[in-house]
Amino acid sequence: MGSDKSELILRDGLTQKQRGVALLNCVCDEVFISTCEDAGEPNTIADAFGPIGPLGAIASAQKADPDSAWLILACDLPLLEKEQLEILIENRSNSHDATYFSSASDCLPEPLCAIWEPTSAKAVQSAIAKSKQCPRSVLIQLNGHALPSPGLWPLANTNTEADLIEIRARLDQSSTVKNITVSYFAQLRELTGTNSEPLQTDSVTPAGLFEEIRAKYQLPLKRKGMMVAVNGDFTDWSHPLSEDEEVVFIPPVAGG
Amino acid sequence: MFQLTDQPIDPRALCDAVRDPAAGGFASFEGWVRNHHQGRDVTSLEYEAFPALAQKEGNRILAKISSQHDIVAASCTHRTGHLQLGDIAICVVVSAAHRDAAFDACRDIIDSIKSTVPIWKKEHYTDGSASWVKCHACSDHALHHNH
Repeated sequence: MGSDKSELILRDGLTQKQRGVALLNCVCDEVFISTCEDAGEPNTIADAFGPIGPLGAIASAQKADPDSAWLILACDLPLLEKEQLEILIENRSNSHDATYFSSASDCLPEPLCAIWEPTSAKAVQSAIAKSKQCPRSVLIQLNGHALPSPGLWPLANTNTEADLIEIRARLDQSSTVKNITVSYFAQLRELTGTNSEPLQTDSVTPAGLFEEIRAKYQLPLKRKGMMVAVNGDFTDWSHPLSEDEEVVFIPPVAGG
Repeated sequence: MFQLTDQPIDPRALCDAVRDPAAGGFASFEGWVRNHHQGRDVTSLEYEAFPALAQKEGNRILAKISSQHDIVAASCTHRTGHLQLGDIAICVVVSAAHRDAAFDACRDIIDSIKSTVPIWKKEHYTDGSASWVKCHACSDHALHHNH
C-alpha cells in the first residue's frame, strides 16, 4: 500500500508489530522481530538473504537458531486472536516439517501463521537457492500437518485499501447485514453453477464479498487482476456496499 | 456505436453505417476465429459478455477515441455465442477525411475493447477439452483501471 503495514495502529492502541509481539509473548518462550537491516536492537533478526520477503525472514530465523521450531507470524493479521495461536501450538506435530492452518479460500497452507520445524530448513534453503521466494510453495512440498481453517477473517491481512476498510469494519463492529445480488458470467458462471444469486453479507466492500464467495466455491481466482462492477458499472474494490446492490466480479476480459 | 450480436456479423453493413460524404478514407479491423492459440489446436470459440456493461463500456471507448482523432464516424460490433473457425468475432470500422486518423483510431478502438470490455472467450480444442482464455495483458491493465 506504499506504507509500512507493521506500523499501522488498528486495535488496542498498538501498532500491528507491537500487537503481534504481544500475542506471541503469550504463547512462545522468546519472540523475535524480522528486520531488513541489522540495527543492533535486541530480539531482532536481520535478513541474512537480502530483501526477498518472508521466506528470507524464515531462513534467517532458522539460521539464527537451527534447533528450535519457529512459530512464524505475519505482522499484518489484525483479526488474529491468541486462540488461533493456541490451537496451532496444541496441535503441533513435530513429526511433520510444519504445522499450519489451511486457507479458507483455497485450502492451501497459510505459511505466515505457522510452525516451521527444524526439518523444514533444507527445503527453505533450497527454494532460496533457486530464487523461489514463495513460502506457501515451500510448505506445499513439505510433509506438513494441516489444521482446519479458522475461517476467512482471523487470517485476513491488510494488503489493500479495501482490506483495511473491511478489517476496520469488523474491529469496530460497524458492518451490518445486507442483501446483495451477485451475477456471474463466463468462467465464474460455470464455477459457481449459477447465473445469479441473492446473498446476505456483512462485508462492507466488494473485496470482502469476493473473499466470501471465493471461500464458498473454492474459486481458483484472485482479486488481483480482476475488476468489479456494482449496479451495472465499474467501481473500486473499496466501494461501500449498500442494501439491494447488484455486484458482478469481472475476471480478466478476453474479447476480440 | 457499439453493438453486441449473437448473429453473424456483416462487415459490409457496418461499412455502410460509417459512409459519409465528408469521409475520404475508411479503415476496418476484423477479428477472426483461428485454429490455434499458444501451441494448441483450436476448433471453435465461445464468447460470453456481461451485456449491459459491455454495451456501456464499448460506447464509452468509441466516444473517447472519436474525440481523440479527427474522424467522421466509428462503429464496432462484437459477436457472442459459439463461433466456428473463420467466423468474424469482432469488426471495427472507422471513416475519416484522411487515412492516418482512420488507421490510428481503428487500432486504438480494438486495443481498448480487448482490454476493458467485459467479454470472455472459451477455447475448444481438438482433444475435446475447453478452457477460458486468460488475458494477462488485460489483467495488468485492470490493476490501473480507473473509472
